[in-house]
Amino acid sequence: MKEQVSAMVDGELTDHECEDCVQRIREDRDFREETWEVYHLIGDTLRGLIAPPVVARVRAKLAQEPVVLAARFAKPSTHRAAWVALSAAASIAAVALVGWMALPLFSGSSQQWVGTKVAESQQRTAVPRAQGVDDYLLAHQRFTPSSAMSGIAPYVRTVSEENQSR
Amino acid sequence: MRALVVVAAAVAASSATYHPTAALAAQESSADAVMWLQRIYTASDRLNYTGIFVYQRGDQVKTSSIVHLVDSQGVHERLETLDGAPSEVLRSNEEVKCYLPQTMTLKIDRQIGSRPFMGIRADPQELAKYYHIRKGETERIAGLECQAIIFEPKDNMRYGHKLWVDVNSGMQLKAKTFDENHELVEQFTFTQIQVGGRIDKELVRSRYAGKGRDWRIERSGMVAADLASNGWLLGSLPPGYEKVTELKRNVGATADVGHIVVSDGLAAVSVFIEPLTDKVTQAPLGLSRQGAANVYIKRLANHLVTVVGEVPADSVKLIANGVEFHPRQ
Repeated sequence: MKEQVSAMVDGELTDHECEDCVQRIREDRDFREETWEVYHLIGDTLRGLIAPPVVARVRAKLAQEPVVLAARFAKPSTHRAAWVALSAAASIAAVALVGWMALPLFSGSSQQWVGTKVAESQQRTAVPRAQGVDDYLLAHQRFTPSSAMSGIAPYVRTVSEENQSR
Repeated sequence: MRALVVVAAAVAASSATYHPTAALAAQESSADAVMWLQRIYTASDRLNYTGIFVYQRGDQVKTSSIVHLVDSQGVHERLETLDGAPSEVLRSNEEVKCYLPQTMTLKIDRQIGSRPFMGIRADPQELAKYYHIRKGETERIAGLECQAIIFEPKDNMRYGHKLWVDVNSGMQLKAKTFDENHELVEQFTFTQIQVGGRIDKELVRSRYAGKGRDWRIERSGMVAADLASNGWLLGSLPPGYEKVTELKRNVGATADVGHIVVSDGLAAVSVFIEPLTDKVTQAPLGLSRQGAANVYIKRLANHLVTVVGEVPADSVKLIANGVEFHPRQ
């Protein structure tokens, strides 16, 4: 069912199939109330229309279900299969992530922060946080090339942490 | 939903391999992008500016003010964090001072017999061997029209970068770093900037200057050193990484720490080598992470080796594993 709806909104169904699909949506109450809402949320997220309370709710839901899906969008061929399998909150997270990656295509700014947080929280879990390396990091900043910012701007990476960790 | 698929395709396409048909256009775009990189270098050396920028990584957002003044005596800069614990970084040519008022610590970073500040500047031809460089879209940042430049790594040993350059001044107004999963590692963005014009020298003076009598002063005491002649070698570097500088210095309260910097022109990794003491034997070994940096710590020949850099974990690991000690007979 979800696969068919997904194909429909992608414009991959014939007119007749579309009618059939719409009819099934009408008849399937669960789908209407949950999945359909999620699909619209996805669209709204991409268009930068998502409201802050929704973001908060998504984040709260995400905290309850740590689904790692960061690299899944790399291959378009597996995209749909993966898509169907995802739970609702994870789906939104995925979109937030994709929305952020594609940010240059859109102009919203709040989305960028949301998506980034999602990615960040999923990725950082495996590697422990370094202890007692602030001095080394500060010593390293001087040699940061211009990939970040010119001059002393990169020092901001460490000076604020230094102050807090002592 | 259709938008989503288009977006996913765009993301996939950006990581896909080279299309020969697009090679010519890509070449032009790449040459253009390199020109923009050179503009950034020139602008950051010569321009006066004051502004506010935001640094973000994970759920951490820090706003700072920055002033950059070039006069007959050289380059002067002042950075002040505006939220959270106050801190100030001042630069006067080769000398950098970090004022950390909460701990009453002043860190002075200066290299004796100095080389140019921020010595690492990419040779664009070299960079192109390890990154696909291309022009991105134009975008408005801090009210100014900017050109985006994209550095997409050709392997997993470095991060991707996207820089935004003010079309008129060549000032870099935004930078994003992406890891091997195309996830954002960190970003700097100017939210407000005034380029050019006269800047009062008062603005690059520390608000703590002259009050520092009770402050603890830590000097980096950097001096050029030849660690290789003492037997310390870097046996394995990722492709494109080369030794940039080799120093002896203080790190925090520890004196005489060897410091080797390697870089591919965009990414830099520091290797610190120090004798094992009670203090440093507590250090957790192996891979860890702080903010945008990956850290790898190992022990070797009664020394502690600490490798840090804003590069993928595999890079710091490779470099750390390659550190060798061959004492002279």
